Amino acid sequence: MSPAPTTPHPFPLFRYFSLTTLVAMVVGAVAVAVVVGRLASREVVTRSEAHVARVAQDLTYELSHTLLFPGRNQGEGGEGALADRQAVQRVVAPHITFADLATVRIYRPDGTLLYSSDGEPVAADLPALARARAGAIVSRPTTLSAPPGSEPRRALTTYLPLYEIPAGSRQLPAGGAVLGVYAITQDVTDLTLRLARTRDAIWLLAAGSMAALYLVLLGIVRRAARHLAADRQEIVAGHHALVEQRDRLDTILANLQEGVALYDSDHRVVFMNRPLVERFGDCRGELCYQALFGLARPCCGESTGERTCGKSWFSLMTPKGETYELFTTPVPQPDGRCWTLELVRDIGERVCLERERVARGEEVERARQAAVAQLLVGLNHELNNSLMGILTTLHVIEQEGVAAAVRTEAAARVRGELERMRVLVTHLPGITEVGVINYVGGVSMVDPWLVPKGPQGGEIAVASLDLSVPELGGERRADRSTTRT
Amino acid sequence: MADPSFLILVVDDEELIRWSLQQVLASDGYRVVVAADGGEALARLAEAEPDLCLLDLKLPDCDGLQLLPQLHARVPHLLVVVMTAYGSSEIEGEARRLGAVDFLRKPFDPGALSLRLRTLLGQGVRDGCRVE
Repeated sequence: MSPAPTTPHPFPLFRYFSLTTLVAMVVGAVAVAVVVGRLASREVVTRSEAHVARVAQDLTYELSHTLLFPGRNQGEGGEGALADRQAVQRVVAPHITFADLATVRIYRPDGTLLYSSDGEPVAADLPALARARAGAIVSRPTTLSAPPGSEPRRALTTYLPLYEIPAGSRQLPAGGAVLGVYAITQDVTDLTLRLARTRDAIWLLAAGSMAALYLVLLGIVRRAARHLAADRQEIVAGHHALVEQRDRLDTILANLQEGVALYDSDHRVVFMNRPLVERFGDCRGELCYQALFGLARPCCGESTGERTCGKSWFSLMTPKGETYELFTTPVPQPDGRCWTLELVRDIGERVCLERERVARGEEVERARQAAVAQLLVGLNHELNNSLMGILTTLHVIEQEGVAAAVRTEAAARVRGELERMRVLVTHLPGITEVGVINYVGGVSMVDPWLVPKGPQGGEIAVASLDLSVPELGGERRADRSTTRT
Repeated sequence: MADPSFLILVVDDEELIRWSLQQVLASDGYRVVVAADGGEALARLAEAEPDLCLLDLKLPDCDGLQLLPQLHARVPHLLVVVMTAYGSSEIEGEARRLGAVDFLRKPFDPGALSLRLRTLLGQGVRDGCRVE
C-alpha cells in the first residue's frame, strides 16, 4: 500500500494561508496607513499650534498692551488705536515677516472684522471665535487664496483672545476681560506635503513590512510543511509497514493450529487467534485464567500478581480435567508494564495416548514376562522328560543280564536324546515365537518344539504369549498335536 | 521278581520314556504294553485289562487328567499312577481326586518306581480293589 499522492493546490497562495488571514493582513496594512495618516495630520496641527503659541506669546501682549492700553486709547474711544491700521501694521508686520505668518486678523467681540493684515474682508469662524472669546485657543484648517490656475494652499488659522491688561502691568494676564479675538493664519502647505510624503513612505513601509512578513511566514510555513510532509511520508510508510507486518502476523497466528493469546498486565485477554476463539469463544477483555481455564486465580505462580516478565513453559490441568501446555513470552510495553504472549496447546489427547501407550507397554511387558515364565515351564517340562528318558534308559543299561543288543540300542537312544537336548539348548537364543497350551489346573507352559523333535527335527521355532496381546503375533495353538508333524 | 501276571500300561508321548520304562518293567517281570496318546491307550484297554497304568499328563491328543476317568470307566479297578514332567500341588490334588493312586514328578528313579509299583500292586491284590 503506497502513500496517498499529494495534489497541487489550485491557489498556492491559499494553501498555507486562508482567505480570512489574507484579508486580515490587508486590513491591518490599511489600518496602519490610516493611523499613520491621522498621526501625520495631527502632527501638522501640533506643529502649527506650537509655532502659533511661540508667536502669540509676544503678539498677544503687544496687541493687548500696546493697542488696547487704556491710557493710550481712551481718547480715541477705545477703538482708536485699533482703527489705526498703520499702528497695528507696525506691530503685526515683524511677526508676519519673522514668524512666517500668512495673515493676522483682529475681530471685535461681536465677531466683526476689525483688522486684516492682507486687507481682505474674511468672515470669522464664529464657533471658533466664540470659544476664543471664552479664553480658549482654537485652531481650524483653512485655505489660502492662490493665483488662478494653481492649487489653493493649505493653512491653519488659530483664534486667540485679547485681554485687557491692567495699568502698570508688564505681563499678559492669564484671564480677565476679553477685548477681542485675533486670528493668525499660517501657510502649512509645505508642511502638509512633507508630512504626506512621510505618511506615504510609512504606508509603503507598512505594506512592504506586511508583504515581507507574509513572505517570511510563507517561507517558514512552506519549510515546515515540507518537513511535515516528509514526516508524514515516513509515518505513513512506517504505518503501512506496521500494517503489513501485523497482517502477516495475523495470518500466521490465524493459521496456527495452536491457540495464541495476548494478555495485558492485569491478565485481561487482549487478543485471541482463530483456533482459540473457535474453542473458547471471543473472551477479549475477560480475565484469561477464568475465561480460558476456569481458574479462580492466576496460574503458574502468578498468584502474587507480579508477573516475572520471563519466558516460561508449563502444563496445566483445569478443574474440568482438560490438560494444556502453555508457553509464555513477555511483551514489554512502553509504559513499563509487561504483557504476555501465550501459546496454548491442548495436550489432552496426547496425554491420553501417552497413558494408553504406557499401559499397553506395561501390558506387553507383563505378557512378555509371562511368556518367558511359560517358556521356562515348557523347557523344564521338556528337560525333565528327556532326563526321565535318559535316567530310565541308563537304568536299563546298568541292569545285569541285559542283552547286548538292548544295551547298544539303549546307548544309542541316550545319545539321541542327548542330541535332542543339545539342539534344544543350542537353539534357545533363537526362540522367536511362543505357542501356548493350557495345562490343567491353570498352569500354562510353552512347547518349545513347534517343529518335529528328534534327530530329524529341524530348527526350533518356539513360542509365544497369550494371543490377547496382538502385538506379539502368532496363533493360538490349543492342541499340541497341531504343532507337530 | 514281580508277578508276571500283572499287566502294566505305559501311556507317554515320549518314545524314549515308553521304551525305557518298558524295558525296566519287563526286566522286573511285568507284562508291559505302551501307548503314545490317549486314543491308543483306550485301544489297549480294549485288547486287555491292565492292572496298573503309568499315565503321563501331557499327551498329544488329550490331557492325562481327562483320560483318567475314561480309563476307570473301562477298567474300574485299574491302578493309575500319574507322571508329569511339570506338576504342581494343585494338579496332584486334582489327579488324586480323579482316582490316581500316586503322583510322580519326572525325572524319578526307575529303581524307586519298581519298588513303588511292587507295593501298589501287592496292596491292590491284597485289597482286591483299587484305591478310591
